[in-house]
Amino acid sequence: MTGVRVGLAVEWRKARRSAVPAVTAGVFAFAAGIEGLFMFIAARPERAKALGLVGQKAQLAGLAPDWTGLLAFAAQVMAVGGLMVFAFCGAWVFGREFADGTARYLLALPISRGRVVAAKLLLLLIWCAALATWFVGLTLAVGALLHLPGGGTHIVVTGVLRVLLAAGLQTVALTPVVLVASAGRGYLPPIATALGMVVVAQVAGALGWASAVPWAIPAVAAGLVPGVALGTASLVGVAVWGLAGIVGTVLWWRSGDVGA
Amino acid sequence: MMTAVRTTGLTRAFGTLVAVDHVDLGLAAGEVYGLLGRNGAGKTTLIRMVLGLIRPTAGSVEILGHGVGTRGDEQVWAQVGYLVEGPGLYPELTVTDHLAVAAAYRGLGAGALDAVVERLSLGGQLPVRARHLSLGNRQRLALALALVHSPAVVVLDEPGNGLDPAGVVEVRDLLRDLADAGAAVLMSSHLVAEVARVADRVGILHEGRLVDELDTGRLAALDAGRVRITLPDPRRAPEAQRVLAAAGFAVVDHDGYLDCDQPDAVAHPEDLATALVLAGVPPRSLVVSHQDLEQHFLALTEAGGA
Repeated sequence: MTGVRVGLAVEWRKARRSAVPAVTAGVFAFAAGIEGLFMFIAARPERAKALGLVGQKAQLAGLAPDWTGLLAFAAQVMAVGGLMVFAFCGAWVFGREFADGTARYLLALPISRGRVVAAKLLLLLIWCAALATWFVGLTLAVGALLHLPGGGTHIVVTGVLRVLLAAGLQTVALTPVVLVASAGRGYLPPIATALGMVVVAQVAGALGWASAVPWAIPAVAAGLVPGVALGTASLVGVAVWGLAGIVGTVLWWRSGDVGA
Repeated sequence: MMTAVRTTGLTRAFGTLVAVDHVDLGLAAGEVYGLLGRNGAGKTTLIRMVLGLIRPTAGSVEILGHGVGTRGDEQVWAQVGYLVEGPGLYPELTVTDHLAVAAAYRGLGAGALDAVVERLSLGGQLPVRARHLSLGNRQRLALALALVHSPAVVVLDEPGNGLDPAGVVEVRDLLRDLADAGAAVLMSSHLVAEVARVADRVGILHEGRLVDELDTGRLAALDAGRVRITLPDPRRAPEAQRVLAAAGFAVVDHDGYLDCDQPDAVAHPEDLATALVLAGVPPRSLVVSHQDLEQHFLALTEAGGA
């Protein structure tokens, strides 16, 4: 574990010096701001109209201006936006090593390549968890600021857990993206892959196959796919998919030609 | 002397292109081995295989007695420092950050960092982010990261890249000092003069093959020069060879001309001319030339290999 700890400390230093974590936090802050705007419009349509805000869209979306509506909206944001943002984090943690030409200096170290990858995955996990926590915190702040009704403990806890579940599933489901970032040696292949995954998830949802597509499962967990409930098989599917991404990434980094 | 790095039949093909073709080389502790080749000769591919960054198609690499690519590579990498295909730096990290990262991976204390910072004149650059470093300072930092743990084996691909003339001299002295302290240094370059000045042994790589290897004796002989004799009738070369041998000059018959690289022949070519004239085998021409490593390299690589 010493190697992983050292690797994590190094990865932490890189992340701390970079603007990318702050940018991703900013994206979720923006998303929370949008939540607040929609909730404000839904809760006070006349006031919103008087302020010059366009309230039609929020009302058309059928948002309930209460804690249940806010947290459901947050879960949906996490299920869709989380995939893109988390994939971007993964692209940065892994793909940047190839884009910056630093990967070759991680391959012949006293620490095994497997541990270098483990440290990176651990940082990614911490990063995604921190972003999810940040987003949940901001969402709760939005609800409190707008004095939304229906804020019973059970409703809030259930809603928060749903957001966190969507985030957790999304984190697990993105591991193949880091394999693409490694094998594709840069940022663009993983970002393109994530975009493709979003499209496939949309199509799968429309065709009623969402529960069979691992990266669409977070949307199912978020309640974004009407009439489809989260089942054990889906959860196992996400776990297998995530594990395949991790194993594939480790094997790829350990392969003889990673420094080609 | 212990062999620090050994490659045996090392080969790497990319599809139909054979980038490195059955290269056997050995490098001892305390030795600087200069790998010389044109662009695309296979130097970097060879170095990448030595470092385990890519897998050989055939052959093997041993570093300090350990087969690269087998279990326990990490123990060997603890004793290897390298710079390959230019400095790989994180743009947002400062020089201090980079050194701290290297120290963390290598389990080093601050003392080791101070020494390498001083040696590579990086003291004034410590708070500077890599993206703001000049090309030369990026190269210095990359060298510092390669040497921070006082490795027993140093592998450097084009170490002089981006350095000003003073920096090139500094690096040359650094490599010499490393070897004198017992490290085995494998360096590649396409700059002949750089290699000629620092290497104890030079391997010339051409189209993936090690076409020549020159030890200190042959490098000195190149510097010492030679006398080339041509005869009006090349068929009399054996006779001229016998005459010169009797006069104490060993010459090599090259089917049409004779070469003698004895220092006294180079110093007094008239003695050879006199011996030949007195024996009735007068030369058509007798030319003293000093073929340096550069000419030797060009002759080999332009001819397509030995």
